[in-house]
Amino acid sequence: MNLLTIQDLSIMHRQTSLLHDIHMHINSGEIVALVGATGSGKSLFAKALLGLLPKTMLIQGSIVFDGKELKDASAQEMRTIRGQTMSLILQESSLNPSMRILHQLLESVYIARPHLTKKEAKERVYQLLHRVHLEKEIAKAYPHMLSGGMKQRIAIAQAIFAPPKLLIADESTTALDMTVQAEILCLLHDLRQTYHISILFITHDLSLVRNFCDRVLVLHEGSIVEAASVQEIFLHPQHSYTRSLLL
Amino acid sequence: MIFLNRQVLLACILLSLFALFALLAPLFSPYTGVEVHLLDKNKPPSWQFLLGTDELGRDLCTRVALGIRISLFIGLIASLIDLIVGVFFATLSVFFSKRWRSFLLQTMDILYAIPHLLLVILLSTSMGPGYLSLLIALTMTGWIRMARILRSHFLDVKERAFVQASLAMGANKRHILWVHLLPNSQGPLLVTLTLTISSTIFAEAFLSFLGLGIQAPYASLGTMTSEALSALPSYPWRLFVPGGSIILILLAFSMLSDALRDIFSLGYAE
Repeated sequence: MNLLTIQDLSIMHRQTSLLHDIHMHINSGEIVALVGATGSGKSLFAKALLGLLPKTMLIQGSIVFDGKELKDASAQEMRTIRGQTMSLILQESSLNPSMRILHQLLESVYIARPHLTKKEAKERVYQLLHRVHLEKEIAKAYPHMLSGGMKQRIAIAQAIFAPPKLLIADESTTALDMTVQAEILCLLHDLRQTYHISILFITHDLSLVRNFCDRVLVLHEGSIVEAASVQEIFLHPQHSYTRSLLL
Repeated sequence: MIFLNRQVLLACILLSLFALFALLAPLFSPYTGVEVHLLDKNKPPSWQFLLGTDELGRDLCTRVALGIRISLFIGLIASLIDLIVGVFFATLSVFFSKRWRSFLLQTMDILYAIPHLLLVILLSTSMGPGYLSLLIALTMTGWIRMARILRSHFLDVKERAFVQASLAMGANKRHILWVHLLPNSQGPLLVTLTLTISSTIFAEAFLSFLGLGIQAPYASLGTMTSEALSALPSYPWRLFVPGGSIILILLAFSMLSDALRDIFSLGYAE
């Protein structure tokens, strides 16, 4: 079943076309990689899905998520979708440096469930920490006191509170070393199994997706130049740009 | 901890001493600071009059304490008004639609282009002397510097990853302002606030010196300095006490803002 279907998506800023003729879909529980070089439009695409693009950018085409056309959604509806059914994980620097981890996690809990009491919200925070394999004591720390991997687990905990139907991981393992990258990918895989979450895994590193994703979309200069299963991409790349990424 | 910084500690001790003196001295003094003792005029400091008397025999110690009280009161109130109005307009200029934002920024630019002290003098003259007119004159354009500094900082914080992550969780603008923008702008906010307090205290003293601020018989450091100027060769203590108080208060705020700027720009307290 298609969770996300995108047809003829183009994004314009003034007279410049930033993304053009994007066609893609993501099925429920599927992990899809969006691979491309820096500046190819990956993060722009993620922001378009979340409705976070500046108003100066013109969006054409259709984005249907969970049976609803997102282009027609109001600002309030988009906020609800972002808080409940679609989440974003950024790089490790996405934590507020002036807030303790407890408050950062309480923030995500209260945005999604504003009616919870303080005690219930704290309880949920500790459950989230346990879910991403972190100790309860971490809640008292500030972000600068944690390692890159720990920060990324916190960012994941923030994103999975609801839990969402689609999780967008935008370069979420870029700043981490190989071992920690593998741990984070394992955690995401585990969360997908538990909650049946679909994941759009955005990265510039094609080698990362080999053992993690089901399908790969290759984005080059604002267009998807190749879409295929992981095996096909690695064994029989069709486009010259995909081949250059594999070198 | 901010108070571990030696400069901050020194500035805070100095300001606390002035504040305590301003609050307590008039309570314990046998004089009100406005009653006239013509037989004791221009007396030098003594046990009877700790800091001497002025040309009407009024106790300088009590009058300086009352003057510091007025300076600190006007400085704090005017700066708080500047802070509230500045935060309000900085927020509007960050979250408004493009058309309103341009209108607001252009209005702020036009107001900022008018020389501040000249405008304050014009407003004080047209509204007449008194506390209220002084406060209105000082805050009429005083908020613009605060709004401009905060706006540039808000724009910087708004683009950071944790704000984008918060927006992606479904946070609204009010949440972004209270949870992310304001707490992460406390450095520039505190530094600008201390600078605003010192410039407001100076402006109040300057206006009173020119006769546009606090009027006789009430004491203001500016008025007392003005009155003492002509008597400088014969009775120098009459100028040194209020003048020295202004210098020390401004020095303390200057030290405080310098130290706060260093602390927040380095990201830690020494």
